Amino acid sequence: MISHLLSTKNLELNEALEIFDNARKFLEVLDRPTKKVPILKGKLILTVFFEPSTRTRTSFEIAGKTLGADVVNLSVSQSSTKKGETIKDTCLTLNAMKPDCIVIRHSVSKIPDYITNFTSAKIVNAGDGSNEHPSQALLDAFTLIQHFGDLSGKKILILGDVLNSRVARSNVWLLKKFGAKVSLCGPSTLVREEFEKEWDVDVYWDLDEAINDADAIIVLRIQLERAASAWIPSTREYSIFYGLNSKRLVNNNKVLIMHPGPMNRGLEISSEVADSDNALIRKQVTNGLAIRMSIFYHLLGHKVDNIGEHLDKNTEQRGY
Amino acid sequence: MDKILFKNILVYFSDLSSKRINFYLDSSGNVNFLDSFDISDYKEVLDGEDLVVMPLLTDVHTHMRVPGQEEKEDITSGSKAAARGGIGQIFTMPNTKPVVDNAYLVDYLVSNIDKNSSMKIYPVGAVSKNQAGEELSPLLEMKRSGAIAFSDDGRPITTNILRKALIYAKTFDGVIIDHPEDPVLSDGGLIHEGRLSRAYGIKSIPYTSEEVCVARDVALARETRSRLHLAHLSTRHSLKYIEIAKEEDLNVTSEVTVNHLIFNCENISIFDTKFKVNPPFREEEDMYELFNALKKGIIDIICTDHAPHTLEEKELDYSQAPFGTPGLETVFAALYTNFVMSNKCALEDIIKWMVVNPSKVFSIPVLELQNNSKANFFIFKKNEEFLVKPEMFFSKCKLSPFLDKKLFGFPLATFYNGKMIYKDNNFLQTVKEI
Amino acid sequence: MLKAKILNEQEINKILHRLMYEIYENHKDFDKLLLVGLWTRGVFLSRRIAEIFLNEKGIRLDTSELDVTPYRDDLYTKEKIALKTTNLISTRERSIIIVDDVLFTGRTIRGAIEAIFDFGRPKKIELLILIDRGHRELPINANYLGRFVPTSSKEDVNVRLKEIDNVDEVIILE
Repeated sequence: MISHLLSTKNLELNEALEIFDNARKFLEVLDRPTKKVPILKGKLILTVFFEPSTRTRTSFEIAGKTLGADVVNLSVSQSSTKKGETIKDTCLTLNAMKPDCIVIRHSVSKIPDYITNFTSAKIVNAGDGSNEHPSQALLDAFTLIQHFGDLSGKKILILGDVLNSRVARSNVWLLKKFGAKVSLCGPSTLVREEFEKEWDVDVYWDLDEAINDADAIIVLRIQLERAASAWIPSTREYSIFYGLNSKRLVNNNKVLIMHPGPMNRGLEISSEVADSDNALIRKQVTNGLAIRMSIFYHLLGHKVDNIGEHLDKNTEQRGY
Repeated sequence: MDKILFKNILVYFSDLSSKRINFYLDSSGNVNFLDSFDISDYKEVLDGEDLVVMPLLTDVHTHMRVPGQEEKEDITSGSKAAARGGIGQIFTMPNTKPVVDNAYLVDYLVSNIDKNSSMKIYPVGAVSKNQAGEELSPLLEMKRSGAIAFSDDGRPITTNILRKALIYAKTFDGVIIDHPEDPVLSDGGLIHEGRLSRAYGIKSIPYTSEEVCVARDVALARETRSRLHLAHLSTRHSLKYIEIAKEEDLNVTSEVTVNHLIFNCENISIFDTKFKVNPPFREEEDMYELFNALKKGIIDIICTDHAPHTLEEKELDYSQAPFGTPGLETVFAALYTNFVMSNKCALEDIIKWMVVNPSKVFSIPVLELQNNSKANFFIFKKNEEFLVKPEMFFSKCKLSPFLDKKLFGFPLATFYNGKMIYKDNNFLQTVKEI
Repeated sequence: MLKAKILNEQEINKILHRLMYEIYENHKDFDKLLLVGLWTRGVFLSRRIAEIFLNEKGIRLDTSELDVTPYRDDLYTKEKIALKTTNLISTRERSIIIVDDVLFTGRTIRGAIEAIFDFGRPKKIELLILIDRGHRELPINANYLGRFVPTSSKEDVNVRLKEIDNVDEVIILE
């Protein structure tokens, strides 16, 4: 039983399946006239985003509120860090507000792991640097399983800026646990040849070859504001060689298309593909709510040793 | 100090010989070799069975943080740390606040050292003004004030300044120490670029960041025929350039830190800030190859790169904590435990790498046991194990990568210029530390 | 430890038939009637009653399943409870009969009532219970009761049904 959701690496397969089982139940809740079950009544969830994000934060917020929890959004937006406050102090302060769960996004890898030392709340990693985004991977796998039933042997292609993508990493670790054949495609600066050996995946630098027998394609966002731009000469060149459009899918028109959003239409994915019947992009959003509800229930919805017992960690000095 | 008899002690010398001898220290700290003795003459007698006397070690790469960062370390704490580690001579790097880039600051450092240090500390001057890599510092003037060598440590010397400095240093046979790192390739990296950096998506420092700089430095040494010393090598790929330089008889020497011989990115917890150092811990193969290079004489010197920081700084998260870790106290014990005890090298090799070669490269004296002169040595006991605890550190930084590990060979006492500058609590019961 | 066997298969069957007739007697508009079985055994009891209705009266009743777990007031005192399916349709203007096997403190039924309101405003809610073992902690009573069995708090009433337990019986354990 995991006590925090930090990574998909150390998530047991049966735990992921349990999260999926409950997510199916929670999907039903989202269709009710009163979209609320009081399963987390009286629980306090803080979403602390050091990086701007609207959709992931909103998804977590709706998930928490649907379960009856109080969800408070803190816009840290690096402002307190700019004032010289360390992340440790920020977390000790937040912990003193007695949250049961902290959903955190930060621009540096492994920060969610680090803050588990300073808070008694359950930590949910909503994206740390280029490391992981486990809730996104869980909803992606959940969506794929909805369609395929079983992922073993299915070729799932992750297309785009794998180097800088936390979505890609979380998905690689998780999809492999389900026996999927994970493939990566993108230019060699963003899809390094070392990935093949180190991650036990297939690496393609040629998109047509990669698409050929793929069962599903997870298209990654090209983050123009991030390092990706330094690793590709121009977005124009990228979209010509690695942009997904309907012409590319002529020989494989059954392949499912996913995208974690927000999309750069016309860059990594054409509108025609994004709006096609094979695109599960909207479904991913709804599934995201159910998965995040299930994550909260998994972490908070039952008796756990120190839940509600907020240890006074302020005086403790813990190593990292 | 009462007279102390050292009876039948195994003594190692800088000519790499060793023998069991009897000697005593008189009250003014002079060493007197003995052919025969009457035990009743001495209040304190040390029986030599497991005791070993070693020459004082030299550490050519430390950061005493003076002037300006005395919260991290100062001359008193740093020299005590060195004494605890069996070290008699250290170099302190100029990347301080302000940067030691002029003779006045070297003068200040020298007077501070004279006042507060229990052993020898040599200031290293900055090669460029404010280490900015734009203008040459007054090297000759700093040399006259006591600078032992010149370096922009903490960052590489810019190509233009390095070339000028190498040519200029020939005037006075000076040594330029370069920190080989291409900052463009390091690009804010936090750990070694490899399996782990890729798995965690963390900014990383590739091999080539060091390698291209080593290649550049060797080329400039070839052109100028001047004396160049390369600091803290971390990758096996750098070694071939140095090997070529040695074959061509260029004046190129190099060092490796003790930590890079023991740790690699796979045998540490990579996100523990205790292990956050620059250059980063590389791969297991690099660790082995660096040690082999020492044995083959491609690398000349082992140093510590003792880089203390405050606890507050090291407790920051991994991305914000500064690079650097202390090493003075643990260097000999770490080498003895990891290499001598496992027969990977002999004590004589340690003497070569930490006594003889530093003296040759930087033209400084060897400090060792000599008859009828002031005592200069440290003594340790074979097979005596220590658990490394923060209390063992005299450095202001007590976050060693060796914390909670067991090490053999910690010095029991250190004598510098006839004075006992370190003494273990349980050693020489009746003698007081000076 | 088994203390007593209260009901056997035939007795349970008889009771269910009686309860069906009571419902038949109390209601007119069977289209509006909705049997809501509570997991786990209430679900099977509600299905049986619907089946008896169909066999005896040729009337097909709507049945559905409700998992009360999210509405429990003791969630954080228990180890993890797995969620089950809820497939309630809109309860707006419906007459609801909650079906469960044992009525004890009444807390489960409170949760069920709360849940049902989340699906719409029902016209009426009634309660059908196979065994009422007493010890109520809330003002809740069954409209259709199989049998009242006074028990001590040390005892445990176990309803076993063929669908999952391979046998139809009601027993008291101590």
